[in-house]
Amino acid sequence: MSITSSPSTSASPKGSARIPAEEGFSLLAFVVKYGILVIFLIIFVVFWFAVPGFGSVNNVVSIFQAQAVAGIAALGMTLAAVVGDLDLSVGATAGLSVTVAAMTMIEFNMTGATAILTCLIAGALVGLVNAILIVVLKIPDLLATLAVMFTVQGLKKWLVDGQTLTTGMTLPSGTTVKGKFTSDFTAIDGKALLGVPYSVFLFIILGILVWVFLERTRYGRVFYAVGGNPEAARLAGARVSRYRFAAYLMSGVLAAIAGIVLASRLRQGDVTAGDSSLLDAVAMTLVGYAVLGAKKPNALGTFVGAMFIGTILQGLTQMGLSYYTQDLIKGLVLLFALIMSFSLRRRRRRPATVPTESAVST
Amino acid sequence: MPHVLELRDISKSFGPNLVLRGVSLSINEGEIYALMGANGAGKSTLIKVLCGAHQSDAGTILLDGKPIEFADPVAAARAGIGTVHQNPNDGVILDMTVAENLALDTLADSRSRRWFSRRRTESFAREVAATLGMDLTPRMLRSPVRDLGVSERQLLVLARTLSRRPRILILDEPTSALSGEEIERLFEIIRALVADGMTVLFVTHKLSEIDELTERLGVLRDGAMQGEFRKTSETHYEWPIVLRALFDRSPSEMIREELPGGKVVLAVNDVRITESSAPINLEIRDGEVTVLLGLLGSGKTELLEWIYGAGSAVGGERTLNGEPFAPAHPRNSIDAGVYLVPESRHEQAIIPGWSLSSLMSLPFLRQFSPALLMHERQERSAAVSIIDRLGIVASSPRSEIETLSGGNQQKTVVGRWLLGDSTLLLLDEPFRGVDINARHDIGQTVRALTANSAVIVATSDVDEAFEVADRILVMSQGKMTADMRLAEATRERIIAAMSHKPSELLADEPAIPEQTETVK
Repeated sequence: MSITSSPSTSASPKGSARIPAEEGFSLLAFVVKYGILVIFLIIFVVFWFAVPGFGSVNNVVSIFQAQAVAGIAALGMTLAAVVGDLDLSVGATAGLSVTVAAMTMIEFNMTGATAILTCLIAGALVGLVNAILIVVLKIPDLLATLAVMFTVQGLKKWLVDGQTLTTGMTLPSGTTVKGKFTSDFTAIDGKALLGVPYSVFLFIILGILVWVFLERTRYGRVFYAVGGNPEAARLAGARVSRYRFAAYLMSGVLAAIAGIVLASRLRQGDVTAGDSSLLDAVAMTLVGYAVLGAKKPNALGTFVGAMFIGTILQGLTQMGLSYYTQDLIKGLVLLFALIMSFSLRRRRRRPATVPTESAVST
Repeated sequence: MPHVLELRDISKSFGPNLVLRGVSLSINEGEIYALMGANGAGKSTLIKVLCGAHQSDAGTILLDGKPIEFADPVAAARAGIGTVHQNPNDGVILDMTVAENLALDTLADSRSRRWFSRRRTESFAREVAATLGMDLTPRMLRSPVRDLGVSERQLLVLARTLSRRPRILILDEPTSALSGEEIERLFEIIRALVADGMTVLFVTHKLSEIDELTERLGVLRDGAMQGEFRKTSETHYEWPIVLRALFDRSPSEMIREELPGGKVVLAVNDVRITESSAPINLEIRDGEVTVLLGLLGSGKTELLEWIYGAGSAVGGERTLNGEPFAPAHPRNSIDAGVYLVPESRHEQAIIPGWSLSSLMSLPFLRQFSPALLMHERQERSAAVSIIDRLGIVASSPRSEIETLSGGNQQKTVVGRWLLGDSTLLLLDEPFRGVDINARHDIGQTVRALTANSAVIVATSDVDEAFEVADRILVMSQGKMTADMRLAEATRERIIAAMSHKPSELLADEPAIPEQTETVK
């Protein structure tokens, strides 16, 4: 570059100061990046000593299993959060799966495979409605999914007249339902391979798939671009609407899968099932922001968040903590993680226009 | 002579970026002091320190010989420093009416009356407007600022600042959105206020304005004062010497060959920016740099975005290399080799937290992922080649974009298009917030591209146009008002073509005498 031979290159000593040198060890940077993981480890070790058998394979597997439902819903929520905001309808959609699965198998006496298919279709439909509200009708995502959450919660109660569907019960119309949860369907959460329930495999495999999708494919890259700056993504050629559409569809389907696991566990059509997994999923997704200092929704973080919350709950429960304190614990963990990812960060440098470009080619 | 305002060794850095390195300057009571500096020289930072928006890291500000510190802009305003920033939208609230905007200071003042009264607000607003000699109709007072043009918004901000009767007025490129006649009007008002004892720090890079209005001129480069100049004749500064200080290069070094231009790449037929504007017809050739000059709001951004398929216009046809071209989405344009560097880097090009290499590859992800998975090594080596080609200062292609200086950020968003095969490159204000050397590098890169691509550079800065153009198009109020080769272009012709009718906000006659009354 011809210009760099001009006298202005004499500025290079100043200029080189501008290149952020590799900083030495910074405690704050370490805490921001690894804080959650270190605390996770410490908590785990403490429980290991305090609770006999806490570190056993069986116990760890049971932590995975306990978090699988909310965890899978949180993976879907993570996808939606990457392109925009939290999808508040995931809990209701998971609950819808429970109702739909129960109706398919108990009321209509159909196979488990049919039940799975109808659940997935129901989840995709909810995702589609979300996508239309947000992308086509331009309703802010948080508000649209909130409205859909209420609607779906109401819908599933209306479908079963507010009752819990169980085998052999008499419907208000007077007929007695004869169907039951098929054994292949209940096997999802009930049967194990090598001591690990299928539902745990499902959770881990979905976690890996979502991670690969977000971190390693070009679609994931565009997902993050759309979430980071939709206008910049559009001007760089990304079809923003299509990607947002896809994200809400995927979130709906993953929520439905979470619901299938839950239905397989409950084996009846509980009308309020799934609702509580919304807040768990929110907590897991947001705890994920703090993992490795990502400060953005990410699949690994969500997975770690699920295990983090699961470990604390399991440990405290085994030490005798009552079930009704669980929400309090989850809330405190979430608050802590939010402080880790938002408040503890060193203040971001303001981008400034700087005159010392002269060091350019040296 | 008493110094009303004095700066001693002001330094300021942002992270690793040392933006001001010991700036000292003093301004006399009742003078108009011009401050010049290339983009990125540190002007805006200096102004922000002066108006209390930033605190300096070292150095002192003396007001009437006494050291003073401003905790925030309100403190500076109380001390008598009034500031009009470059972008008028920073100074108005778009959804409030003209009257409410003019009366904003009283609305926000806790000492004013508790109940809002439209009548009182409007009469106060009229008083404020009178300081600029504006005569506002009730209808105008009640229309939202959103409906106003850029120059009218600028006038509102000016009126509001002047109504606080500052002792020291800082004007940061106040004329960039104003027409020739509006500028004249503004200058008359400034002169009248100065005759009354006000002191003005006038920041601009328009040489003619400095000649016309000021007596003394300071030049800022690389965050330090490079010299002070006085007029050598009645009407002029010794510009070659000033420019040498400004650019660290004599003007002759910046002279270059005018490129002749090749075949027509883009033809635009009968497009109108708005329903009411005149149709535009254009032919853009490769082998030359075409500059599209126009003030803020002239329609140049809208035209480029329409060509790119990112914005709409009324009617019109595009032809690219003889084929009809009608992109429905920027994706279609990129696939056809039509690229846009958007006007606002932060809002339209940069994604917070992203690395250089990811930002560069974003439009061309398919190149780096033949199947589904990204080839990150390939992506990084492509980024490194662009970094080398444009001389981007960064510690690695994985550096976060926001850790770079403005010039390097801009090089990144321009350089990303070198990964593709450009047919037509559209650059909207590519030199904004960019220092002189980065500007030169970008200019060189763009010129090199003309070998097999057409290039349009849109800008509102005449000097920038002269720096890169082979052909200059001028737009004003959605209309093409001039088309000339560089050789036939003169500053006067261009400025005449850029100017538009003065805003209807201004009365027929400037109300200067009345005005001096209000200021006393």
